[in-house]
Amino acid sequence: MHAHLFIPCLVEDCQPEAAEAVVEVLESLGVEARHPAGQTCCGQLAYKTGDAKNARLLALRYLEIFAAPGPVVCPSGSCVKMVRTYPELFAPGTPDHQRAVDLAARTFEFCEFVAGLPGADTLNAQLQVRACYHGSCQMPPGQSGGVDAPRRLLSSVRGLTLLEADRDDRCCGFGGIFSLQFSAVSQALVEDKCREIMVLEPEILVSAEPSCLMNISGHLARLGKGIPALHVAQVLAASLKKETPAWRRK
Amino acid sequence: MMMELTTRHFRQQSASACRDSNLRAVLDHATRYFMGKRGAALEAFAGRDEHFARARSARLNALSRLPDLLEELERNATAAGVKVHWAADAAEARAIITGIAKAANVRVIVKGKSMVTEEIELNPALEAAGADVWETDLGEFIVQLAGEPPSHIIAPAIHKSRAEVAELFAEKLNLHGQSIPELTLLAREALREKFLCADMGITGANMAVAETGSVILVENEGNIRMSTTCPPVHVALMSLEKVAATMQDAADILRVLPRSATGQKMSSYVSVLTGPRKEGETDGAREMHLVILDNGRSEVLADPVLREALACFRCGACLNSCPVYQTIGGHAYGSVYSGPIGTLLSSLLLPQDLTRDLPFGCTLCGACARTCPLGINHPKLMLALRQRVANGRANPVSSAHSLLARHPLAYRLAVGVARTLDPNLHLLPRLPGMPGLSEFVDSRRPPELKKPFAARRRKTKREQKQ
Amino acid sequence: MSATQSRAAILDTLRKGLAAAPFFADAPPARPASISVGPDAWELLAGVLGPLEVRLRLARTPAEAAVHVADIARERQAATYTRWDAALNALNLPGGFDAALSSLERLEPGCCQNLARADLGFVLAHAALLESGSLAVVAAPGQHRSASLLPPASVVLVPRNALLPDVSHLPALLNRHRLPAGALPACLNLITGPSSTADIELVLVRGVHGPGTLDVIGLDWDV
Repeated sequence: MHAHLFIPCLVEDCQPEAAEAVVEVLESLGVEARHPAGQTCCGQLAYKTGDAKNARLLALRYLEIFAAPGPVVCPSGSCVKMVRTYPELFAPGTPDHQRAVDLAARTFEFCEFVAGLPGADTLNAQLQVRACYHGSCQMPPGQSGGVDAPRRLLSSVRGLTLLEADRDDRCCGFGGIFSLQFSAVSQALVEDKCREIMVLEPEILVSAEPSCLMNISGHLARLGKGIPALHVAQVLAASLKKETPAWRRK
Repeated sequence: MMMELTTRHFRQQSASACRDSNLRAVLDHATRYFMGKRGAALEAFAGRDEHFARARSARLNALSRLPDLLEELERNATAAGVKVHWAADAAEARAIITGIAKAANVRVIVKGKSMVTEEIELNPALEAAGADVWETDLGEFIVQLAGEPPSHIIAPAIHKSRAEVAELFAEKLNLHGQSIPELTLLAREALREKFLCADMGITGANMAVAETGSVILVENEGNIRMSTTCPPVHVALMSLEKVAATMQDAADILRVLPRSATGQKMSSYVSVLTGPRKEGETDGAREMHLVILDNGRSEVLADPVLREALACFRCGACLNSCPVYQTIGGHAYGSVYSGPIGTLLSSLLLPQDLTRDLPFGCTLCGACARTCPLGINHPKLMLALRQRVANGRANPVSSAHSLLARHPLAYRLAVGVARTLDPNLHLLPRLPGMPGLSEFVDSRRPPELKKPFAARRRKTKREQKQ
Repeated sequence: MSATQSRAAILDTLRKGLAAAPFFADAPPARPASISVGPDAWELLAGVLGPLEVRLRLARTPAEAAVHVADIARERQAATYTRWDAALNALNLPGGFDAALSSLERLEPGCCQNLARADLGFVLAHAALLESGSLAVVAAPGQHRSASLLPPASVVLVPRNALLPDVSHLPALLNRHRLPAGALPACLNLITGPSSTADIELVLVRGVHGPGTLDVIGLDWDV
């Protein structure tokens, strides 16, 4: 089995370790990871500023980049959400619309994809750590009534204490362009979020959304309370290995 | 109390609200209180999803047949003895209602809580026509005395402490009390006098039923029942989307609305009013009017995405669930309607140049959509409004970014140069065309530009081959 | 615009909007089954009224009902009362409904001002909804709306055959009370607990404009 890696711009250049971890976890489950060239931005920024024209142009690029059949896996809930919105950018009945529907249907958030693989339940994962999980509002919803994929995966790691902050699914205040246009509100929200996280005294912060990780860990750093901020994939990859993870060696 | 429209200053107002620590504490308490009550009620609500779906279906069914249903409503209400009026905009609605008041020689008016009367700025018009107008919902009464607009659909005075209310009652009414029950009793006595001498009662309408011509009013205090029972004239002002096709649809909505609004299985009082009092009855209005208000709504029905906002039945749950509302409260939005649904309604009903910022004051986190019992997808509508505001003109930052992103070589080159010159992005706040970046960077250390994943992957692959 | 022009313009805009982008609401799922009204109905009603601070007293006979009426008047320290007329007379309480209240002054209904001094109001429920504890009262001559609204203490008598599952029975209830000519009653109220507000600091206070207390007397027979 193979999967195409859809690596968000933020991960590509600022959190490349998360992308490497995605590859490691996928390969440990027997999935060959392919990385199509030419990835830049899925169009989320344009789309969320009301710029449908540029969003469409960027979507067309991604329809090309991921034209080859097979699942597309992405370590970001919000980027997956964007791809799942592609069909709305094209007129129904057109070939582009059809391609967008096809791509949307085979694009998966990393945790969602891994949790659905055979063998996900028997990952021999072990890591002694107190981890606070930030359930980003951008993540795909869990199966009705059930626990969502990232929580399921993290709970399966032996030794990992999963800490859930008060209002753990509440937005961290980033919201892309919102954080610039409404910087005071954005800051108030990230302050709330950090307070609610730090009261639990976690060793690491975990999320499956790179932009939330950047926002929250950026503020924690400004507070002088920086703790490692990791993608779920990094925690899983570390828990599959014997050696001490890089973020712990530092 | 009427408010000046300040939606234009939404951004500045939201920033000031953030700095008001008292307001933040009150909002935190209030929104958690409402969400807690609601959560408990929904937990215990057997068949919740089916009931939600039925309520949604009742609302959408009404919208999909709106003109026919309004005519049917008019027919049946008229047959029941109601005088039905149509108002294209706020000015017409004000003229109709002040006209009714003048014709009946009205001096004292009691009002039930109604967002729509706030929307059309009714009180100043009635006062200018010589009437003495009393808001009778306790929260509305408090904000009226204070000369402030309401700050929440359900709890208009949540921003006021008991001490502030005590001071207000002492100053404006010369009534003295300290505890909350005392203050409530004072308001009861002061307003009871008004109910008993009022010449006219004005209410909104939670629904009107096309099939029967009935107006349905939902409340907890009893002030709306008083306003429709004691004065000889009752005027109900309804925005035109609030129709239910049948009494059965109305019942399905009543199953959901109180639970979602306040966590009650049913509000303390639901009144189903079908016409004025019948012969032989000793109370209830002798004359009943229904004013059907458009004020921009009819135009929205043609938009397949945005018309979903008209399904709203004003439970207020999206406000309480919204992290932005939880932080800035209602006043910052600068119009009658606040929070997620308020952003949508104001953007749709007010002139566009006043509301450009509203749909951007949202993180698109979707808490509202997950909360809405009617399944309104607020973020989707928010994005549609952003497109409408942008009107094909891209934000300069987004434009530049998109241009780069369409050319991967240039994009990689740009990121590479940035990584070489400024890997910790110290220069980020100096980027032109991005106001807000320096504030962002003040409170968040920017991410570090690292050796990109693709390059690392190529290196790993090479090593594996060797 | 004139009134008729506005009416036409509004309807026209709506029709054009729907013609440009017609839509249909999905058919709703079936309404979940209602709770059944069985032998435990009084218990269910008491259970749902309890959290609303409403006490249910059950009377097996008219004589017991009269005792409850007198007890409530004493407990509420009432000196005056107002009540529905024929509907309560028909309950055949021993000596007539007012016998249990002989030391109190009965105020005649009329305009609301007439009842400003009433301490206690008695009405008959046309329905009591087991799911929500809502009591439906229908206005008619001799069944004044203010009786359950103006007095600070309210008493609702609920016959056994008024017990219904939930608000989905509202349309049927209204139909049952149609006037001879077919018109619906001018006013039906659902009363669910005492008047309440939490408008100051979200602290719950009973009795802001309507009654601060609500007592229910269950009549364990059909009326």
